[in-house]
Amino acid sequence: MSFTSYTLIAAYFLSALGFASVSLVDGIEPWFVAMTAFAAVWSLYFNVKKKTLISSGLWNVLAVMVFVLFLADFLLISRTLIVSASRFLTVLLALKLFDLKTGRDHFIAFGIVFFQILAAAASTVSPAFFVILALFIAASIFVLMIFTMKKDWEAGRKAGAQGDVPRGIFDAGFFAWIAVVTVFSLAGALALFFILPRMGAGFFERKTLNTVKVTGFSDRVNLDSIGPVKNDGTIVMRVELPPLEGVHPPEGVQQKRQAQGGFYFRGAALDFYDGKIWSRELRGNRILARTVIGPVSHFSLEGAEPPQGGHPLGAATGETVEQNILLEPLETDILFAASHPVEIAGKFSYLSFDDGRAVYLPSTPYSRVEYKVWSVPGPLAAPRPEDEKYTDTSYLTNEAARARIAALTAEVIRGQVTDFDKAIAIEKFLRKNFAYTLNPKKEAGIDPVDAFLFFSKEGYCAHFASSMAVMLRLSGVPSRIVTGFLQGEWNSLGGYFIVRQMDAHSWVEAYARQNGVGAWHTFDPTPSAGTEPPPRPPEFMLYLDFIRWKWNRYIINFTFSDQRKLAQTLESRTAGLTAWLKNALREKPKISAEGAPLVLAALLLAAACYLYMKKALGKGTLKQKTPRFYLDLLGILEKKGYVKKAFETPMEFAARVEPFQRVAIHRVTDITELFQKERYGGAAINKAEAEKVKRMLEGLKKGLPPAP
Amino acid sequence: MKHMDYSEAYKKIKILQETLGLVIKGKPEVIGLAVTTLFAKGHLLIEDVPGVGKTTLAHAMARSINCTFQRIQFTSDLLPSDCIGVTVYNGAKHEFEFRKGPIFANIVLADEINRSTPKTQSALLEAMNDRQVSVDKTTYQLPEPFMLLATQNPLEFAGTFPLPESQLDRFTICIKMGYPSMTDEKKIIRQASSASVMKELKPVLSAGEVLDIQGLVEKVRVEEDLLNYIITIAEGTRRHRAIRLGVSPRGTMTLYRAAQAFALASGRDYCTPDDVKGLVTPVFAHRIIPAASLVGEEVNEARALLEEILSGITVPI
Repeated sequence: MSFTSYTLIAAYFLSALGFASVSLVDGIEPWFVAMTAFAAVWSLYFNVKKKTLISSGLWNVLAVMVFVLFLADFLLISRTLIVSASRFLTVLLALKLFDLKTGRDHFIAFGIVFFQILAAAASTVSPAFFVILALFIAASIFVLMIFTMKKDWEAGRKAGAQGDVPRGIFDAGFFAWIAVVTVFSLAGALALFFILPRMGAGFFERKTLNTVKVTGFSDRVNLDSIGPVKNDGTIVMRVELPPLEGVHPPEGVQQKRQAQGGFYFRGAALDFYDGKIWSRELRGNRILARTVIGPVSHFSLEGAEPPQGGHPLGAATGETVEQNILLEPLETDILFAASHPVEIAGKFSYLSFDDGRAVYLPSTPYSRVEYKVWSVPGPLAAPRPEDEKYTDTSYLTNEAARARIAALTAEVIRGQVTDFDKAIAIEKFLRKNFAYTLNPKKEAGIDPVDAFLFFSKEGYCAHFASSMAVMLRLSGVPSRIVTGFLQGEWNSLGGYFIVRQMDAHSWVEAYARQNGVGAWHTFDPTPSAGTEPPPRPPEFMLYLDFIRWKWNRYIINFTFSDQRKLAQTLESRTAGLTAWLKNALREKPKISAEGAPLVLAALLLAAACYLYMKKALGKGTLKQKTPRFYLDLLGILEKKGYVKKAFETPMEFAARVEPFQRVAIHRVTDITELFQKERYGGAAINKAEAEKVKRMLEGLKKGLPPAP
Repeated sequence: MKHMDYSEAYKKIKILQETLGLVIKGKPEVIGLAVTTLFAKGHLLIEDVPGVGKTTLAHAMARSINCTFQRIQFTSDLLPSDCIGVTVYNGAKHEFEFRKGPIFANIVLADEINRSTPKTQSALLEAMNDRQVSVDKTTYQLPEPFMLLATQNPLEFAGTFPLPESQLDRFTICIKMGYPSMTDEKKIIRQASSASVMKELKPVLSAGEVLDIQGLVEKVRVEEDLLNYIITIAEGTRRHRAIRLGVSPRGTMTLYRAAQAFALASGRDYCTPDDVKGLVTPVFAHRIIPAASLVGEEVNEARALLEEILSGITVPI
């Protein structure tokens, strides 16, 4: 393969990365990427045939025009810097590919791709970007090297040098070296990424992440609208359960919870029903007590000050469930938490909550929200609500319907004494006698609850929950509807739940005294058994989601506390390692022979690597041909004003400088002779000679007068 | 036979140069080039006005080496057979037999080569290039080592025929003797007579030693970059607008070998850029034909052009 094809392949590979990264930018239409990419492919024809469509001069003119278009786009059409800049860069790149001749052109293309990737970095949170970035980093050293070679070669041609670049330079050693350099620079960059403190909000930090628009959750429940969200696999949030002390592996936690009936991620509690729609009457939005611990604020729903380092309940009873939640931006300001949250920690300036214990953000978020919640499972102890709103049934204006429902309720709760038992009976009744469907028959009836209970006898969660709440209220038990999410899918790889739109749910909370404690109890009248579970994404998606989760967790949201944690882990690990080493040294004879072949193999592998690298080095593929000391000599002389002309041979130059030496010793000539011996004779100077050269260079630095 | 190493070869070459220096006063560069030609297995063309010691140099070289020597005085009526030899009928044996001409010697002096016709000049082509002579379908090998020393008068002189390009290309180096300096000329005059000095010259090298040194020259180290340098210079002559005919690949081969020989004669077993650069003019000047120049000024014009080309080429360091 000729050198030119290498440069072409490099340039087009880079451009492909550039187009791919732009396609990730939100707000860039696919047709735009497709069109420019098509132009790029078209340009390949001209480059291969060595024809010219756009001359350098024309390119400059076009670049200016595209820039004007960019300004217009930015100011009038897209009004987003990232989007219009991405469009600008992409068109520029497509044009540049038609004018790809000199090394300079290649460097410009490289620069454009670099900025495209930068723009994509500022705009996308897709893990696909990581692949592009990795390819770009892996290729860039090789590409830059080839482009530099091309530039040097052109410079050489300009100076009169002839011939093509020798083909033999791209041997295994060359690529091995590039790989080594790439790995080291990548390792260095990663180290910097994890060690350097985060800069907070950067210039490119993006605030306008797409919110999840069709939400399965809403802070009102409309019984007339059907829920297409049940088939929506869009991820709403991920809930990580940190492993409990003594419970390993982390699945243990999940299984334990599963046995207790699974998690209900609670959103809003709705108290008002108008016959069709459940909604929330605004009552007492109070600010939560806030304690700042490090970079995060802790908010307590108990009103008590949380102590340093965690919640007392978690430490004392072990019954507190800790959750790390990564919430996608929904069109709501409600924070979700497993029932019932007692403490929330995150980077919030303030949080508020209402009587229904729903927690609100200061505003609807536009980016992912990460927070930590401590919840106590079980009933939520509270004083008996004084006002009548939880037993309000005034919406039942139709006497016939009211009588029908009241009669049914009386039938169901016959024989039950306590409110709690009444609730259990109603829950059982609904679960047993009604069918779950997403598409209930449209039947007659005064209102949805009436239709559900007496005509269609099928419905989805909202119908079940509403009916139960209404029946409870008719029997004098305070009740409310709660909307939120079921626990979703457990990702055992990362130890977290994937909660999707399809997991949106509504259930009932009823106030009852149980064992002498008045509390809100959770009831779910919706039957889950016997219904066909909606299709889940295939198994391998779990792996993908795991990567996405880690990407979000450790790349996008890598924080200072993470750095501190990393440092602490490293410290404890290394401490362990040194201790282990000390032990190993002390107990030397105990080391079994089993590990010996392994150690031997590792040593052999290391030796082979070393030898190979040495061989690659010895080939001189990357070795500097001109000895260092001669370059030093030229440097010293140049500072004094003696500049070697390109066409001068080293000896001619030495002869020119020689007369200016104050003392009649031939330092320059002597050094030049040693240089020639090493450079052209192939015999490296020995130690004594190197010492001598060093002395002579020092002497020249001091003794040689500047050029006249 | 014991083979020579570099230091030994260098000593021998130095002695040879000193011996030649006894006869040719004040011209160490000319002697150096002559010796370079010998060890590069080449042929030497000495060009200058009569009476500056061209023949003396050739003669002295022949005498300093213990080998056979022949001199051919070229004239306008000299025939190829006068140089190469002739097939005659041997009446006693009743068969034709080949009588070898004066070319069958280790060192041959072709004096005033441009006085003969191109026909005779061309008769030397095969001998110079292939070191053999073909007569009547039979090929005769010339003795080893073989070196042709030719002298020529400047072209403007009466009764001269310019050497064809093909012939010129076969001469490794073309030397201009030049007049001696005042002090050197005085020494030359005071010296009894060159003939008597010549007689006192003792051979310092055997033919076998010459072959040995020639073998060593081929092993002198030349860096890849220096080879590139040589090729770049040759390319420069081929591309230059003021040059009608540039240097042939034979020319670059010759420069390569000559640089090796020069390096050895300077006591090194590797070539330096100076070896190459210093030999460019002597090796290339007679090989290129400037596009426009005065008659007889071709070589001078060529030298100026070569200087110009060299000043535009980066020396590898």
